[in-house]
Amino acid sequence: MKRFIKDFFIFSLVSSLILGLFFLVGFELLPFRVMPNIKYIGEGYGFSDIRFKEVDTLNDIDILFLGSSHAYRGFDTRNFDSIGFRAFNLGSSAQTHDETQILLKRYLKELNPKLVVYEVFPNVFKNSGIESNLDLINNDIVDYLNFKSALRVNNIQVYQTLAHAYYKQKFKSQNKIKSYTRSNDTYIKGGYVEKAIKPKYTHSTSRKGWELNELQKSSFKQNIEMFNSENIKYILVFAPVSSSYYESIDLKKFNNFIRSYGNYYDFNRISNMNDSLHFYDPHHLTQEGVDKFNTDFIHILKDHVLIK
Amino acid sequence: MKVRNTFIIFVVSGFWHGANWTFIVWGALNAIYFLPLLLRDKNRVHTGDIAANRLLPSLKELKGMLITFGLTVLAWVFFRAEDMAHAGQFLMDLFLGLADYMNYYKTYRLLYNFNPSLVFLIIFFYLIEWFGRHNDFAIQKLLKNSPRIIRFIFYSLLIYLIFNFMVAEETPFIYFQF
Repeated sequence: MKRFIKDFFIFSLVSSLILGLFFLVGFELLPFRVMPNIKYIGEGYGFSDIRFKEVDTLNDIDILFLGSSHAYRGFDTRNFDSIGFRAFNLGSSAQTHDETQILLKRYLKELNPKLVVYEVFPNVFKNSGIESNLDLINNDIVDYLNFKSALRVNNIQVYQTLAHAYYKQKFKSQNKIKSYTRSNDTYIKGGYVEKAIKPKYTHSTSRKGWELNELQKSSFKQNIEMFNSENIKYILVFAPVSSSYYESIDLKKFNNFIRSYGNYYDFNRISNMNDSLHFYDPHHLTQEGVDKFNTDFIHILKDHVLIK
Repeated sequence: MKVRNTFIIFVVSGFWHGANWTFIVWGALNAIYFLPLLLRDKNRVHTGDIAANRLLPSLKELKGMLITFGLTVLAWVFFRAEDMAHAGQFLMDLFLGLADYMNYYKTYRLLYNFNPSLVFLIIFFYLIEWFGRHNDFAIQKLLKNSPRIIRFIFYSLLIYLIFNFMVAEETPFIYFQF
């Protein structure tokens, strides 16, 4: 038994070193297609690479938007700048509450917003957080917060992508931003992404219901506690989705849950959107839809949440 | 009696995998594969190692290996199919598809996009299985007489390959939804 423990210890030590070496050689020499568990996103779909670079240059803003694509494709910062609010949109693709928490820990103190607009999308609450973790790892700095989050998500793709991103951060130069326009999307200063696409009526076939992932629930709760402890005013917003998508959600359960965490505005009940004119898919607004939503939002902001 | 018992064993084994005709056919096919040996009372003849004292198999052994492999994979069509209709369609496409020239182009495209590392993995593990074929587990005594560091490097390489190629939870990228 004593010999087994000794051999096991020696093997663990030596194999860890050899494994590390194998990974380093792989990162340096092998193409991504032979390392299928490393999800290198690079120039991400949601412009996270540019957004995270821009946020580093800001401080003391008026409004901070957080959330998924419904945030960064739903709140056009130009609409807020034009009425004198200094706004930044820190939303990102499939941003889970666990990822939001990392971003808050990194940027909240510097940004010091007067108001946080926290976009809440039902599906995000049941998300395992793998995709948003990969997005963050690939496009922002890698620090101990990523390691802690990777342990919470506990997925081999996240671990390997994290190891690769850390290696890249330590030993390689940062990628330069190549373009502010990708496909039909254009990154607008302030974090918003404008989509140049015609409206398209699509009927959602989602199954009715709503589920809650424990990790997301606890992260969401901690984020709210963070706002409260920092004395930062916040509101929770459900951005408009198409009527068929809205009907597929277990609204009673979802709304009751969200309401228990603060001031909640469901814009599906406030804004009068047209499924054929204002959406390009079941839950994303066209630019016309965004402008209409933002106008309604600014009314609520001035009437109920006035900060200036 | 022997034939009946063999059929019972394989069909029940199939049924154990699930209450579906596909599993029962899979079990029955494996029983049928045994029939030629059973009827000639040769089912206990080929129990030793293949190519016992040689590096490579003889042509006769190679033929036997290929036939066994082919028949096993053919039975797996039923094992993996959703239902009998699915299995039937798969087998129809497999054999009748040879006449359609477009299928050759599709095969070419598939091979073109094939991950080269998988070819390496298949060859690597075939070699391990071949050289370790005398043992219950292929790597059991494979490097028994090699220095410890060589064994450590080899085991670490296996761990690396597991980490690198293990299939994580299926994560369809949802960027286009969010």
